[in-house]
Amino acid sequence: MKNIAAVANVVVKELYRRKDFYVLFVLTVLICLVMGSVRLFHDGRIVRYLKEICLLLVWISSLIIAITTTARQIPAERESRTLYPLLAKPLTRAQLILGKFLGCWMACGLALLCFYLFFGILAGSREEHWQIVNYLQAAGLHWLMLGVVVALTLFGSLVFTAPSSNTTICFIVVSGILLMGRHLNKVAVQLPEPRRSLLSGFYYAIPHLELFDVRDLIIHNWPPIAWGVCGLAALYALAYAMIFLIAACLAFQRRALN
Amino acid sequence: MGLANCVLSKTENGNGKSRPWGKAGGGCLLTGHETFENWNGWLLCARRGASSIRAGEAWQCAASVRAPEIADPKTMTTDVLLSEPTTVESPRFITPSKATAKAILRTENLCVDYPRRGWGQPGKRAVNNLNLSVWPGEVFGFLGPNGAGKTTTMNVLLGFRQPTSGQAFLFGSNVREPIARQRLGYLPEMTYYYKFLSAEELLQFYARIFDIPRPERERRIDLVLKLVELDGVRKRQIKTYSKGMQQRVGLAQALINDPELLILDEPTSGLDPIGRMQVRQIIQRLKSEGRTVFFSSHELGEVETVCDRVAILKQGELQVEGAINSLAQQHGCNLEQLFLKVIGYTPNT
Repeated sequence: MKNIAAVANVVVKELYRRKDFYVLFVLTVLICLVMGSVRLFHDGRIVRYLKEICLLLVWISSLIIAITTTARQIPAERESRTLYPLLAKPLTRAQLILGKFLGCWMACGLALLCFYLFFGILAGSREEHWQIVNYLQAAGLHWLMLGVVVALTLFGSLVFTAPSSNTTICFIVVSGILLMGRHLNKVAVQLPEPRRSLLSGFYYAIPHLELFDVRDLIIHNWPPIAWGVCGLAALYALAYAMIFLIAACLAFQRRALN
Repeated sequence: MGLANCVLSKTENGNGKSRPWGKAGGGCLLTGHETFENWNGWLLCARRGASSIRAGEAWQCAASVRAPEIADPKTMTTDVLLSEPTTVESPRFITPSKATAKAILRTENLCVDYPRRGWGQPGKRAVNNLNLSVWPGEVFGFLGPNGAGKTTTMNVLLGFRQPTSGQAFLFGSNVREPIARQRLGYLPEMTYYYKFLSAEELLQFYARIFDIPRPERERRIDLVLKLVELDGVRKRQIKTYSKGMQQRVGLAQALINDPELLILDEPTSGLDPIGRMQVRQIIQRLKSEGRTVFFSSHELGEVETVCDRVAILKQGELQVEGAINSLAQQHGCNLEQLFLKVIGYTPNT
């Protein structure tokens, strides 16, 4: 566990010492502040639209951070040749993968904390009330979803040689799941066999990331979700993250280093 | 085996006070962080944190010694002495010998094949029946032209690649076992360390992987940074370092666990003359400390200066192996001429 924590610590340091996060955060802050300062049509309900746009920006930024940070980890180690002295030490390949996963996930958690804190302060200042539990649940589920994305991207970085191709493919896959994942079963029933069974199987096999998207809780001030449901979602995310991590470990074990 | 019990004692920073801290009884002995092998009347010591005794060094043992209780081995940081029963109060050093020492690095009929990359392209045998032995305390030069199989051999030794056939051992353990890598330091060729970290942070990271306790970690970091002359810039991010400084950071990380064996892959490659001289001086200092160094290089002058023995590889096969002086006498030429002769280079003129 110490080895995993040591690797994760370096990944987190990398996040806050690189400019990527700051650029995305400043951009999100600027857009949100500009929108938040304008009183459109003198309509109080407009704040809901602003919240929706701001949360969309937070989601996009978090996905960019998660995918780009994770996609470059192993290829960068390989390119700069730091992988060799690292694996010449008593560190197994599986520990390296787990450390990278933990580090990227923690880094995403820190980034989310900044985004949600800023968003909460901004939205709360306009609405003059804070629904802390809603924010906690939305941010927590968002973070769990990023865990699956990080594990998927880490696996991708061992399958695709170039980080750019891995980044692009992961963005397409994650966006596809988020936008269309929930509709696949409806499409499947309209198809003839065997395509129906194939698409249905695909629907049940993919990680349904859209389940973790509970932005409406914050936008519409809906009552919080039952904590048991959040626990089940956590188990669901954990299961998929584990599957991708095991696949990543197996792929890394088989790969020759030079 | 004439050994009944032996006493190992130490002096506190050489002030003459000794106290017993380990014992050997009849056969192999293991205490806490230390490993001793009682071996044909010789005691082999391998202790982390020791400043004057190195793994695999053979220390002749007194015939029979009463063994007192073992003191706390974690407190031992200075000289380790071997004492006789009647001279426990005034212990003495016994000169290490290589005559009966075990090879610290050994390969047996090592073969490595690279699979073919595409249709019509044959596979390549990178290493062919390589038999090598490196003894404790020696600096061993591993030479050969590009593509001779030096890095491939090192990759097998470090567990990065599985041999096609044959075996490789470090400290007597098969390289497939991770424990074999606990006591070695490795400096790969041309590595660009995490540029967002400082030298101190980088060494902290590597020290954590070796599970070195915090006070010892700080002490080791101070020590290696002073050794590679980066103490003054330890807080600066590595991205601000010159190439020579980066290479010295690499040496520092290879030394962080106080390794008994150092594997260096072309440590002076790409460095300017001053950088080369600095790295060479560090290797010589490590040699004077009695560490075992196994390194590949194309700088034959440098190899001649620092190495005790060399091996020359050509197309994966061992061509020549021996002490530099004896090879020079045997072939009647210097190392560079011998190298060119062995690899079959004939000048056009």
